[in-house]
Order: sequence, then structure tokens, then C-alpha cells
Amino acid sequence: MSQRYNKTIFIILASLAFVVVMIVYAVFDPSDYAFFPKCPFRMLTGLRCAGCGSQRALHCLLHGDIVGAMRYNLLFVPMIPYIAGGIILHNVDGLFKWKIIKESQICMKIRDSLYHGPAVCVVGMIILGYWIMRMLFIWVP
Amino acid sequence: MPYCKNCGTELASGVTFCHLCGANLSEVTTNAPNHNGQQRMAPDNHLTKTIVGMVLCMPFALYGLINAMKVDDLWAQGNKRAAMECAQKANTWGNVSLIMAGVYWLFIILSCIIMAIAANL
Repeated sequence: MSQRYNKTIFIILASLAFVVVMIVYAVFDPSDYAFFPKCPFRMLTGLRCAGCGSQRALHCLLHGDIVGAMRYNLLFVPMIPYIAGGIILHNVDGLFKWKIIKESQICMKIRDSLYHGPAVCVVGMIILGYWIMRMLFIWVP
Repeated sequence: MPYCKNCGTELASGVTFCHLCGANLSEVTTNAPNHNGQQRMAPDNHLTKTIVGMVLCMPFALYGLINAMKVDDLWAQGNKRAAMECAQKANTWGNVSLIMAGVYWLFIILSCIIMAIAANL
């Protein structure tokens, strides 16, 4: 009972923090304000990492500018549905009450084909390759 | 010798939890595990966690990502101990990068607030 209570509080706090962060990123453009955190890897080496530009991309995305978001970080936009899907599909038991979804084989199949086996290596290689391309070529967004 | 029902590791007799995968061994099989591959699943590779770490500009997450890439391959090869260890490393380094990102963000925000107050004094 108390564990369930803690979980509810955690979910409420987490969604509240999420909303606050989204409002901050929608109102303030990270290109114009200094209080946004800078990438530590970029500060140390001067090279862009695979995640650089995510904050500006998020600002663009919250204003509906998908092309602008892609221009700041090419992988940021496709990674949002991928990560959200991964979190949902790995917590199907906890999130849904209905047995149809809980015991369906389709969820398991999608999960296993997208987040396990060869797909993991493909995703990892894309991220690694993107990082290397970003370090080597300035024209890679 | 008993075997872990979850990962198939050989265990010392009398233990209650598997030292490798942490499974509860109240139902340990006394014979070798069945090899139909249906019951034993590969450990979670924590891929999403390491990707979030990468997006948050934490280069340590790369080590977790590389480990996450190895998990299913090693499991398919039958090297279950190494797969478990890789999954654990992916989890650890994913968590480390998330916590580091949180600490870093808090540090930046606090220092900005302090600077703003100092500038107004």
C-alpha cells in the first residue's frame, strides 16, 4: 500500500518537473541565454558530441519547427519516439491494467525486434557513427 | 549441483539467490536446465537508458552503450555469464551518466542563480 503511494507521488513529481522543464525550454531559447548547461565534452575538447544541440533542438521542436530541430541535432527527433517506445514497452505490466495489452504477443514481438538482438547493434553503430562524423566534418548538423 | 532457473549458471548448493542474475532460487531445479530456450530470456540491455545518457551529453554513457550492444550477442552465443556482466555494466554506466547529468545541471543552475544574486548586490 505504501509502495503504491510512493509510486504515485514519484509519478506526480516527475510529471511536474517534466512540465516545468518543457515550459523553460519553450520560453527561453538556449542560443540566447547563458544559464543553460553547456556540453562538458565540448568545453574540454572543442568537439561536438552525439548529444550536442539537443537543447536548441528541443526549443525548436516545442515551437513546431521540426526542420530546425533536425538542423541542430539530426538524431534528436527520431530518438524521442524510439526512447519513449522503449520505456513504454519495457513497462507494459506496470502501465496498463487491461489483460489484452498485458498478455499480447505483439508488444513482446515489437519490443524484441526493436530493442533486442541485431537492432541494438544497428542503433549503437548509428550513434557512434554520428558522433565520429560530427567530430570529423563541420557540415554534419 | 543445482542450476539457476533463470540464467542457467551452476550454483553452490544451499544458496537462496543466484550470484549472477539475482534470481530468487526458491524453485531451483536440481537437474541441468532445459535447453529449449523458451523459458530463459536474455537480460535487459538497458539500451534506452544509455541513449538518454548520450543525448544528455554524457560521454561515459558510450561505455554503457557498447556494453548494451554486446548483451544479446553474447547471450545468443551461450556465454551467459559475460552477457549478464555486460548488462550490469550497461545499467551501471547508464545510471552514472544520468546522475552525473542531473548533478551537472543542478550545479549550473545554482551557480547561475548565485551569480545573478551577486550581480544585483
